[in-house]
Amino acid sequence: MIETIRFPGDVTLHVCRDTRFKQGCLSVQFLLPLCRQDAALNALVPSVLLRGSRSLPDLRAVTAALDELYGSSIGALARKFRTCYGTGFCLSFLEDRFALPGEQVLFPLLELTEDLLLRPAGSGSGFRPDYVESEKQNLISVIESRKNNKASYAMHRLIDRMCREDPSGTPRLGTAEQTAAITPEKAFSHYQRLLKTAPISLFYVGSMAPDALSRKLETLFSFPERTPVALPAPAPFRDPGGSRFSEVQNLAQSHLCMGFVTPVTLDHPLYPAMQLLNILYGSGMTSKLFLQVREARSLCYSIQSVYTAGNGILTVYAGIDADTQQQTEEEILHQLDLCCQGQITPEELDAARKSFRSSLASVMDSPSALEGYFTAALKNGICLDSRQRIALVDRVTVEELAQAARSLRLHTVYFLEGAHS
Amino acid sequence: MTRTDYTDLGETAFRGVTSQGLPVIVVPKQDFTKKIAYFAASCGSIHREYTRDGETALAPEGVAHYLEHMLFDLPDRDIPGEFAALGANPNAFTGFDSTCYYFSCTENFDACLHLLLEFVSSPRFTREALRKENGIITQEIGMNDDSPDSRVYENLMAAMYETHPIRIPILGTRQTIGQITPEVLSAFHSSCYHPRNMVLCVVGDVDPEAVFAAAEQTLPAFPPLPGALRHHWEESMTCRKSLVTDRMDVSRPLYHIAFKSEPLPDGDSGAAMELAGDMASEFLFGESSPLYSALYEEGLIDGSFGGGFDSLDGAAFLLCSGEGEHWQQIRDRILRRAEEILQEGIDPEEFRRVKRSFLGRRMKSLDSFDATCFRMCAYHMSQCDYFRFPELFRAVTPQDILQFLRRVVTPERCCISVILPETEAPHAV
Repeated sequence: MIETIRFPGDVTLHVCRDTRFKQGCLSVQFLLPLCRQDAALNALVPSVLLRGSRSLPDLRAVTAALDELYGSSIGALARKFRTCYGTGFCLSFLEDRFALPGEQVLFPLLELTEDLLLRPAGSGSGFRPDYVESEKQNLISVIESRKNNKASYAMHRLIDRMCREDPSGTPRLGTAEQTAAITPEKAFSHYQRLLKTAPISLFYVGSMAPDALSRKLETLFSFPERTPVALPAPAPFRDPGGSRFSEVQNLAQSHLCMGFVTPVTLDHPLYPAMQLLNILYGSGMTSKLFLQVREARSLCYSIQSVYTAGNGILTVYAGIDADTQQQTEEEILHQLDLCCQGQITPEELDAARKSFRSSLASVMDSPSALEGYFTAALKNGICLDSRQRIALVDRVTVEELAQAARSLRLHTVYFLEGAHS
Repeated sequence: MTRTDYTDLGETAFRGVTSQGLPVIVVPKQDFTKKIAYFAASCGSIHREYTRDGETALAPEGVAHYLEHMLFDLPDRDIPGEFAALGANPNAFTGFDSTCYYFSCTENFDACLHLLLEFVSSPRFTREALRKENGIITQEIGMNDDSPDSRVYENLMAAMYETHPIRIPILGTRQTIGQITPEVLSAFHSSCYHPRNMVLCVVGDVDPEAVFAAAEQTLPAFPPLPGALRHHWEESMTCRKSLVTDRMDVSRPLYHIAFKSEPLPDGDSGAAMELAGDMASEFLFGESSPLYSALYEEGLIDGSFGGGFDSLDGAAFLLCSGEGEHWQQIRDRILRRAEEILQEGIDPEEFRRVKRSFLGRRMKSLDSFDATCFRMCAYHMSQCDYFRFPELFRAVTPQDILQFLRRVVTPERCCISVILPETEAPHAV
């Protein structure tokens, strides 16, 4: 289903040809090792590039060009994978067959992207300082606005604390302090480093034949003088030790976040079991946590578990009343204990398997979901064949689920207490 | 069922109405595994007042949302569990003027559809289930109270509208939901969830006739006519207040700037006016407009800024939102820009370009099953066919845009809602 084509200079094109959609998408990603010092620079550079090129010197010129291409979009990408960081662009465009007769969308959009990427607005030897300054302010605002959504803020606090010594704890957008310290020179130097040393990954979903697309892309994105660096191999999670911490804010609702660690990561034999366990324990409307903590005991509206296989962390989030912290925590642990004992009904197991199958099948019906899924799978080293993945999950036994549950160790608990709860 | 082909979109829709009056729309999508069904009531949080058998009832605030929760709670049944056993994900949401129940699946579609139709149309309300749901909804209200995005919007509506019930939060309050009883829910459901007040829409690789047959056979008996919902509220085009502020723990101010518009009529004329409103917002402050670029370059707005035209039963408004301290300047610049456009007219080349961009984006959105299903339902409730948007777009003229701007973008119709950081010094108003 995925065809891979390599260009000189460690540029890889993956093509997922699919003629069912009205739109296509293409990601252009520069890959770097996960590194805290680079995170803000990685997040900033694409935003500066999207401000304009030498031929389209400002935002209005760029957006007008995108309007002409039937409302195509070019967005800035900032993604974290298991061992590396992806920075660049994500393109979304109308398929050529829906344009007016004789008009094209994709190739002109690729040329526009190449122009923005290789000929940034400015003197030719650097970025425009005003563009860097304004995008720095925008990035700082985005980073600081994380506190506005308390559930998301609380989960960030938990993950930051748990992963503070591991590369996976690298903040996706960096920190406000790092961003403030970026100068136009530093940003331009990082941009040049990306062009020279970062492996480039292009992922296309759409109706165009791979040959025609690769010919066009090779002329645009071939950099023979590059010296790409190797990306690091996966390493064990660097555990700084767990803790229990809390803070009080002026809120109606309180937020309970519990983080568990497990040696079960992507390469572990129990990986399929842990994926399934996460579904039946805490993901969705039929999970033990939803049915017991929310439906049976009315302790919360939102409750969910999330498994991050790259570093072996499972988190549980619940939005609750401050005075029910202890009983909610006990119930969350009790439900996990039932999993550890193998107290899983055939119906729960069957529902979890079907949910896994259905979510994987649904991914195949959306261009952006396909791009996101396959890009993450490629970068994280997950099997690309969805049938094989489903077969692995279908073979998981109750005993393996119990083993996966027993591998989880409560590591850190964070409680954001609402003073008005 | 009647088949309609939309060749410029590459889509087909089948439509029919069951003997009980339920409209059914099916959009077949060959070669896709995902299937999605929306069973939507044209009744949302604003429709608390209804007349049945000559008597008018006023249900407590938050009743539509409470009902949405309670329908999943049939005694001795586990509706989410039954969907899960079929490999499907059910969910629901309550809006101001509609409530949608839906599922998506890749297998067992027929059984899932039967279950959806059954649980939405055959409720049984117990006091015990009501008590349990009260705890969950109270948590949801708490979550909403802490959300700056919800608060800035709800404050805006309360400041902008005098009588229209959009000024009341969808969830109601802890006090008002305490007034909801099984009897209130039963009366509300039997009046508002009549098949004539609902629509079923399915998108996916399914047999349209089988969908229609399921709708025909599954629904229980209903009285011949539904209750009559109140749809009209006398509302002046000025705002109750021009500015409303509140304080929360936010990193910097959040603002909504809105301009009140007359409600739109049903049918094609209303849909065309909605498109004109959308395009007017694009000319005024859309990403490729001169104003957007200028404000961005001057640092008055950033990527958080955006907006559009919104319309619902009995109300409509132009709305833009963003983060930062410059809401007053942005409001003034929007008003000034509208005057400039009215004086200078609309450049034909820019009009062509914006139209092209709009059409392309709408076409792209048809890849989303959810968006298509929801819009098919919403347009049906407004007595319009969503798939006719290319034709309606082509009919919009520069004059329509100018008329809209002249009528709507005026200081008297403007209202601003701001959430200020708790630590910031009081803002001079």
